[in-house]
Amino acid sequence: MIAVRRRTQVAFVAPALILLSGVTVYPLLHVVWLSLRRRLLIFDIDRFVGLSNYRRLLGDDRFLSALANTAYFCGVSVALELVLGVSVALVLNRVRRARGVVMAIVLLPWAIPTVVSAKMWAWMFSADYGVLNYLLGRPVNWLGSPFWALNAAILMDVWKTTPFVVLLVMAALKEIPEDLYRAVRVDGAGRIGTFWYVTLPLVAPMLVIVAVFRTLDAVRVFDAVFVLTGGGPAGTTETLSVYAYELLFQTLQFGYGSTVALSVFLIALLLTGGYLLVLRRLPSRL
Amino acid sequence: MVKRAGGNHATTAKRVATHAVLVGGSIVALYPVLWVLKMAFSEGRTFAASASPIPDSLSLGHFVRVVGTTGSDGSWLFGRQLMNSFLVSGATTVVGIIIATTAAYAFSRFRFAGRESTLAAFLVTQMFPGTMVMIPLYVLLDRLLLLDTWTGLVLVYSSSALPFCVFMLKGYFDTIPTEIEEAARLDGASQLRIFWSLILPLARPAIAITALFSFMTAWNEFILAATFMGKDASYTLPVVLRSYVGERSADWGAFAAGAVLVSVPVMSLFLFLEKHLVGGLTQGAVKG
Repeated sequence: MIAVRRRTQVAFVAPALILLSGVTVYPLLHVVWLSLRRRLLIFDIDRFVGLSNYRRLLGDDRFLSALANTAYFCGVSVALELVLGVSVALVLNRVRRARGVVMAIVLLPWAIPTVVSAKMWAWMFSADYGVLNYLLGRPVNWLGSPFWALNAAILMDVWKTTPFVVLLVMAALKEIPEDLYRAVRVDGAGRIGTFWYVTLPLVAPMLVIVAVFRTLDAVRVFDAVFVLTGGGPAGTTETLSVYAYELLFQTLQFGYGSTVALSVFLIALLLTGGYLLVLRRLPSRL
Repeated sequence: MVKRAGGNHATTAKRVATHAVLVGGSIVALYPVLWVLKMAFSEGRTFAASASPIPDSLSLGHFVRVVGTTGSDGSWLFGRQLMNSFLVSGATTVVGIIIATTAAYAFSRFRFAGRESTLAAFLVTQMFPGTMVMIPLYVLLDRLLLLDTWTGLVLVYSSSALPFCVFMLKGYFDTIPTEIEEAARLDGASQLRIFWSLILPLARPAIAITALFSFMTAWNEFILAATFMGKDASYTLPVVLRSYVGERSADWGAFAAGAVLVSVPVMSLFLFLEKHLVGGLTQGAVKG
């Protein structure tokens, strides 16, 4: 009886485990193996070099600049998305009439395929015929200037993914009992007090999870930057993933390219570890 | 009295602020989208400088051109690529739902050795950058003879939305009381039967979200599709879309028309499932 139950239980997890290990564990091992080699197939070079690719990272200016770009992109976009997402969710939560329509409009950017939104923004940012410059009345070289290009990518990312944050925060708001608000109001708490002592603590666990998923996406950011700026001008918007792609697919340096790609994974792993520590410290008041 | 008047004042201000945020947010969300619509429905390939996203003329020329794309052998290329997109995304959704619901149910209900660490491992796979797995996956699919096949893409896509879906579904399953299951078990129902006819119907909102996520992942992805699929006839639509505006061409009209066509199925699914969206997500997902 118990054996039969065990077998059913295993059958429930097995498909997911098999698929995930096939599609992720094997590639991970393969990448680690590649990162320990110097592999330039066009020059017929393929040999084991130990950790030298990792040492090379530290002296590689292009890697360090990509690291800085990624950190900036990640920090600014995730912070903006969380603040805007919570604000919009709080407002939407109060809407009673035509809520479905408003939700549909607000969520629209998230539903649009990335290729479409990235190209669309590239067009809007265009220095010659872009609508942004038309609205501003002066020619700003958005995607051609080192300062604006990365911020343009951030703007697009915020536009596209804030709806996702709104959605998840609304799900968390839904679970806060109405009584709690009433009780706090009776105790004389103002709007800010209510937000600080009721809403925020109760939404906090969800915010951490949203922050984790958003950070993981932002650290790995590829298609938004790749389609919008292609890493240019002069590599100023190159994020780690874009750099890894260039190494792997443009210059075909499989060994070093794998090392850079792997570093993105390790950074994501470290950040998640940090977030989970925060999550564990949060008082669970629910 | 005074306090009451103040209260009323505050409500009016609050209402104005609420509407301002909603209107502002809607404009920001809609403006770029309206521009794509304008480009898609306009005639010609150039667009007069203007801030208004309302088209001056209406024409289906770009749509006719995009839909009518044929391959070098004269076959209907667009139709072929549309079918690729639908088959790959549809299969990913079905596979995604089956695998995510069973796994999430196991994580929610069974206590087995290594449960916690397996859940953590699921989260870790969410941290793989696409560029990191591209070459190994290419090699893997090549060895399995799955390059340039729908099966290959479906396997890769269904695994990439899996961790998030499993976490979300597990959170939802956790909120369903176990008592109903105990009762069914006493009546002699098998585990599979309980899962199929009791739990799945109850978890419909969360399953709707899983479906949406899996479909969106597969429908929108283009980098892996461009890498693993080697010829025009096996591309999915986003790959094609990207080629309209690139180094070699700047056909914004065709791009916009294609963008509208690609977005319609996702939007429809989105609107169709929208009422489930908020209801299907729970904070339970974070309590591990």
